Amino acid sequence: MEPLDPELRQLIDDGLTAAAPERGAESRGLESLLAHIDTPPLTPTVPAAPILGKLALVIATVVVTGGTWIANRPASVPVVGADTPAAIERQDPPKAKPSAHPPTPSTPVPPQQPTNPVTPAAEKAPRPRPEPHRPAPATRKADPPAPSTTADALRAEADLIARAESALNRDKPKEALALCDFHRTGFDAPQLTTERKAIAASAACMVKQTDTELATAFVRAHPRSALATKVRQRCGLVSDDETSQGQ
Amino acid sequence: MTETKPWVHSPVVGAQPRQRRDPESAWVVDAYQTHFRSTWALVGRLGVPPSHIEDVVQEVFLVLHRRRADFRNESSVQTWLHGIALRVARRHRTRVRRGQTDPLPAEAPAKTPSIESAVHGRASLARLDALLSELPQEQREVFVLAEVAQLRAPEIAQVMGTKLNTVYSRLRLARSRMKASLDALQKAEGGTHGAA
Repeated sequence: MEPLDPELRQLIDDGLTAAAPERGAESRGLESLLAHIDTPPLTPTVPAAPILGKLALVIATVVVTGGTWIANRPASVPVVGADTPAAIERQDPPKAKPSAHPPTPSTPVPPQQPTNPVTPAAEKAPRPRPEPHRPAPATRKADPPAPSTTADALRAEADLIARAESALNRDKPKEALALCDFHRTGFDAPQLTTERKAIAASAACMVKQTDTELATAFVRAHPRSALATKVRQRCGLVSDDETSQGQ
Repeated sequence: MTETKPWVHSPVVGAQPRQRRDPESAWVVDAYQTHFRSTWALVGRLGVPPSHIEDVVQEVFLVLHRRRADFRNESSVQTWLHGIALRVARRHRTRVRRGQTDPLPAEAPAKTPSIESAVHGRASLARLDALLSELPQEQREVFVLAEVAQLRAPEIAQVMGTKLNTVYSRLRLARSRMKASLDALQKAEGGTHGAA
């Protein structure tokens, strides 16, 4: 192969001098990587949970992550359906349905590793669909793939989110960010993204007080949720109500 | 393609593992320290938005960490890592197109020694990225792997899972398009300056 045109070569060389990482990015990334490496493995296999078990898991996680938002909703608003965590998540940019969202062929699927909190099967699992108002009949057919993989994924998600929340409570935002990052990248169709975003937003401003962009965006997206209240408290943001009262 | 550039191997200064680690973890940390900057430059040229680069680079090394047991000495760590970066960048671009990414703050301006060099470097980078964005994705990937990551054609074929002849063909086309675009840009700028 002949050498590249000198002008193009010069352009690339000059341009790449400005492609240096932002200051601090290396150390932040290394911290996060070390946190992953040091994170003890989760239970690799868990027994299959019934549909109601999954629901309990989601509710437990929401409670753990400060999700008492249901109590803050107006009484006229039905709790189930539109205001479930799944519904809140649906306010985010639309995602492909599990059946229409196969793993990208070119995406390397991580093998089962001792430090990986999610089994490969769990990583491939489609987004579980907890429907709190409709208990699953005992004879309900199993969704493909097997419910156990969905339950495993959800359980692993809930565990990760709970640990991230715990890290925040222990004033370890970087650890929380690392766990959020792991949650974001470790699941093909994560269920608890709203909880993760709330934790990540809080952690970002706990790491750096002026870094409130994520928090502001989250509060804007979920203004009435208790998660937003918690983000406001942790990041020192003033709520719209307080602002209007002050005026 | 054989000359080593400063951004290709720039170990992270002062970043040391905090504790004694098992050999596999130490291997991942070592790869991070050696290839962080080159991965950063590579991911940015593969079409990942600037404010997402840190996130994507992090994901690349997390994949490396998860898949470390799969690494065989059939290729260098750098080549393997670039293959991971290529796939993670592809996946991220897809997510950006679908609007599935979390909102991220804008990238803070990088600190550079002088204003002149910073302005020149950033202008060149913006121009380079603009030219790259005009290439078809396959050609862009081959061009970036060859001219930014400085991989050899057989390595690119291995990373992309394509035939060697396809790599040569795409690289030839990409170079030709890049050169034509650069010439057109310079001509337009010359005309603008002349008019002014």
